[in-house]
Amino acid sequence: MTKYLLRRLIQAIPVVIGISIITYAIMLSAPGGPVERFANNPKITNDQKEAFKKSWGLDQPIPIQYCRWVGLCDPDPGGLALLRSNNLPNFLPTSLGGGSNGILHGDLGFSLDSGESVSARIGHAALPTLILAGTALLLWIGFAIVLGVLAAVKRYSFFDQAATVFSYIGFAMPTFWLGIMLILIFGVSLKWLPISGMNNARLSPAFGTDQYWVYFGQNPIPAILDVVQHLIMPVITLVVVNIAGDSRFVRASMLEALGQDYVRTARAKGLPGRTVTFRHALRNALLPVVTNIGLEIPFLFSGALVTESIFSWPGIGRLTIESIRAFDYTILMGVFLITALLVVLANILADVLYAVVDPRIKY
Amino acid sequence: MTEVISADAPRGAPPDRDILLDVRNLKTHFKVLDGLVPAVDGVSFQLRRGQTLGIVGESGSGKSVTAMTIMRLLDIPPAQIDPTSEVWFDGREILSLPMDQMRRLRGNEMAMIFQEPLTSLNPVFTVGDQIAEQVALHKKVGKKAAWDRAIESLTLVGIPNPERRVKQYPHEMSGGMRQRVMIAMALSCEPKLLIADEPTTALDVTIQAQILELLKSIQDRTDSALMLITHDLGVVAEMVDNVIVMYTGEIVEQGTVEEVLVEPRAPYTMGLLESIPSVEKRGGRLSAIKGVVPSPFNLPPACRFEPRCPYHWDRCRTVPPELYVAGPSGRRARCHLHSPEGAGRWPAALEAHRRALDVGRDLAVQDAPQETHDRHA
Amino acid sequence: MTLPIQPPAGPGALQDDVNATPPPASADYEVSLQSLSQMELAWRKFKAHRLALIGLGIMAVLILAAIIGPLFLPYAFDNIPAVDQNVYGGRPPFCAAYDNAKHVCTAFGLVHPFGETGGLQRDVLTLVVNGARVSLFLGFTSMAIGVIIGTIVGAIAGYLGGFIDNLLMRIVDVLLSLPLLFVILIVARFFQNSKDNVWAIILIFGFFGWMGVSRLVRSLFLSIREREFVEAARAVGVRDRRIIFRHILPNALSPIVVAASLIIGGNIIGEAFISFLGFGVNPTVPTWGNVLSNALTFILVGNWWWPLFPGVAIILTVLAVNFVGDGLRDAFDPRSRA
Repeated sequence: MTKYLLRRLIQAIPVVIGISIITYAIMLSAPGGPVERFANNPKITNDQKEAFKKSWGLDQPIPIQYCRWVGLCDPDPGGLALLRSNNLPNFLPTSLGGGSNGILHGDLGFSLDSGESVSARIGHAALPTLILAGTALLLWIGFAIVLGVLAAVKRYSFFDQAATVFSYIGFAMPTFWLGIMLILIFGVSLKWLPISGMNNARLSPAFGTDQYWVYFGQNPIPAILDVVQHLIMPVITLVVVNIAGDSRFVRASMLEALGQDYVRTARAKGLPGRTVTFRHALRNALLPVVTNIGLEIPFLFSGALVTESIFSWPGIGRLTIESIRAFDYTILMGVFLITALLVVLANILADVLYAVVDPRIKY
Repeated sequence: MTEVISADAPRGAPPDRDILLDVRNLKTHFKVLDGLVPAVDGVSFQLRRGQTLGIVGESGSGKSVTAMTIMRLLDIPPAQIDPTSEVWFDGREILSLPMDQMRRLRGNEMAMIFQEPLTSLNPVFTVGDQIAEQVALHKKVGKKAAWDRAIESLTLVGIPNPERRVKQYPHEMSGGMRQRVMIAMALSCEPKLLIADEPTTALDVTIQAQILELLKSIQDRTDSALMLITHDLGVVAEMVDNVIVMYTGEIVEQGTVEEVLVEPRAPYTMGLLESIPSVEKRGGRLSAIKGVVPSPFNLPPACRFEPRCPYHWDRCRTVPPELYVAGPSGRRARCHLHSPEGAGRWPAALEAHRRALDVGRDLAVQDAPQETHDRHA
Repeated sequence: MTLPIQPPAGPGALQDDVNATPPPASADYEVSLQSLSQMELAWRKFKAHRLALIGLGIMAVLILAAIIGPLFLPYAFDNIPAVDQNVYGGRPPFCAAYDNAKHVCTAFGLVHPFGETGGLQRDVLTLVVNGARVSLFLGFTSMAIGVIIGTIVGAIAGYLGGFIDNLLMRIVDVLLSLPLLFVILIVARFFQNSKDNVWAIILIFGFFGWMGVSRLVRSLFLSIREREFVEAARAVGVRDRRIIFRHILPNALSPIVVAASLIIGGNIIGEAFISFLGFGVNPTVPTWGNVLSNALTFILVGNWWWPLFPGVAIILTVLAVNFVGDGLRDAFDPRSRA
């Protein structure tokens, strides 16, 4: 098993490299590029645009740009002087002690838009997304399994039919529409829940800042409650569609397990119904469900994109959308890289988990 | 997972002491989209302690459903058990038992082994787990004692290295070994009745013999009753004391194994035996029972075998035959040839059957080769 | 020495009874089978599926509305009356005059069955019906592109196996590992400003959708290829191409159809999604996503009808497609009972 794990991890490296190359190429070879941002601004002359391009290293061929981004090629020192005189943000990182920078050295570059370090920017956005996605994941798995198993066990009952209706409708619903409706009902009409942000600006400083953590240390309970209140609608928006789809899958898997011969044997042994269902059938039914969930984790991220936008949740999803609007390539590449890594890891995790729960699988 | 709704209180009286299983007029119907399927249509038999009963029939004859009904393993909405049916086990009527009491019997006093050992064992639990859970449940002992009993059971069925095997998963064993595990599991609580539904059909011939040996020796040792369900006449001949032959849900013949297999009285049984190829018939045509088993939705009105029977006459199309007594020992056959009205035809039928046993039926003999052994010569 | 056995004279070897009526032929008790073509069988199974028929009905209504609806609706699409567009919040359904402050309709009338939007004062029903045109067309066409490409690639990979299979599947793996949503968003962003980018969006969804189908088709082909009837066909000398299309593909139809129906739903929601973010179809062409995106800011003034109806339209469409997909799955499954 350890050998298998190592093998998969090693195989993952070229995959991630391949992904990064392809995405980088797509982004940079698209019409316009970063200069697009100035396309509608009449004050920037063509010379300035050219200088901009040169200072950012954008006049180099794409393979060299990629190489620098990764950290295998030296950044061009000549561009720095030109930059300062134009008051444009510094893309090429100042080398500390003269060495080269790049991903291999832990440097993801700087935002084309704000000049912030990409890693810092992503780092700030990571915790909110983790809170959102983490809570969503737990609720999603829990409800999907519970709903699916109950629907299978009480087949054709009213509960089953209601669950079926719920899953059909939920699955047909666009997540963002659900978010809009929830805002309308609970935020605007009933005014029960806050409709944006992660915390109440009148109560505490912005989430993630140092002042916030000071505030948190002093008033942990109200701070947590505040976040939870803001969390309710985004999480519901994120998970309903997934629960709807997965609960049907769990139900189908459970029904198949219940129809197997070994369930008949278990009953013939005189085991009580509950044991037969939850010990014998469920364990087998969960096998495909486990892999399925492992593979669907990446979809949590894409769902987070729109949810964070609607609810102004300061996470990676909102960051991505803004970066796309602003053509902020460096941030996008940073986000892509991290997401690609996570997707690959999630795939490996799913396979490993499957081997752990099913004794028939031997790597 | 539906529970069987208990039937009304039984009408009959308990059978004699030494009769372990008394099935009376068992009728199980299945309600399906296209209609009502009478899978078991009025089956009655008795089984004593230590006896072996063989239930023989083709697929669809209702033999498995009989067993499943006795164990009450059927899901009741599609299945319906007729309220006049009764099954007496060890002095109690079990079709009307509440489910929790039935469960105490299952696996404990009556046990069943199934045809396909690979799918009948849970793939995610060890063999030991599966045996031990049954023991722990019924004998109310702790984990260690249950585990020891599991190892004991494996030894009983002749599995070498039981301490090692007990921790293995079903997919790590061969087919024969898995079937032994199933038998071990069924025997772990020392049941009085063991029902074996086609236990060797999925196995190689050599393994088949071993498993059958095993079942026989276990029965000798423990004095339990064995109900063996199969379509293989050879297995029946080796193993059982009494035989029931089923066709389209009805019993068409019952008696001891010598009576039924050597001197059958029902045309269906006769047809089955005639179709067994043998060296004497070499060079002739293989004989088969002509026609096909009727669809359950389209059963013939009177005798169900009539369209395929070589001895039928018009009475067979109008009056359904009962299980007439067909011999001094009390053996029975469902055929008008043994009724008072048809008795006259019986000798001719018997003669035709004997000839067919020798050379097969419906022969075109012109091209038979020279070397034929003429019994009558 | 031959044996002097004659075959029996006729049905019933015992012919003693002179008065015996001739027995009915055994054909009376045999079930006669009438053989139906695969399409007839499929239709019969489909008809038995109540939900599928409902879905079909909904789809028919939607398609009809999309095609002829815009011709019948009286609301002109482009008139922009002189109202302060930043403040105006729109009118609810069947409301002639609306008090924005008190959220109460002061006069009812037979106008705007789905309400009126804020801002540019468009009729929501017109928007939904016009949006249906684009969304439905987009959904089906992009699915068709994706499924056709995916089936061809998957069939080739699954049937030929070996090196070609490996090559194709590694390509698919890499493409699938891409953060698809991001890539779609970026590519869509590039076409954002072009005039008529409906086809661009169609092609985007089509090209990013074929990978999943190809994997599915490949695994189907791999398993069906090993079945005995394929071996039998080959043994008789049937050519590869015929085997693929006449023998294997009909058996694989059921899961492919289900996948196709899910893809339609996914693409319609996906298009709504990227239009909602502003990267999708040009704002001058109404799609359901566009409309929802415009509605977002106005929900703060309590305009519930503007986002509600396009959303319900999406839900109904995807539901209908899913129902029909379920029905087709059973219809084409060779093992399900007619």
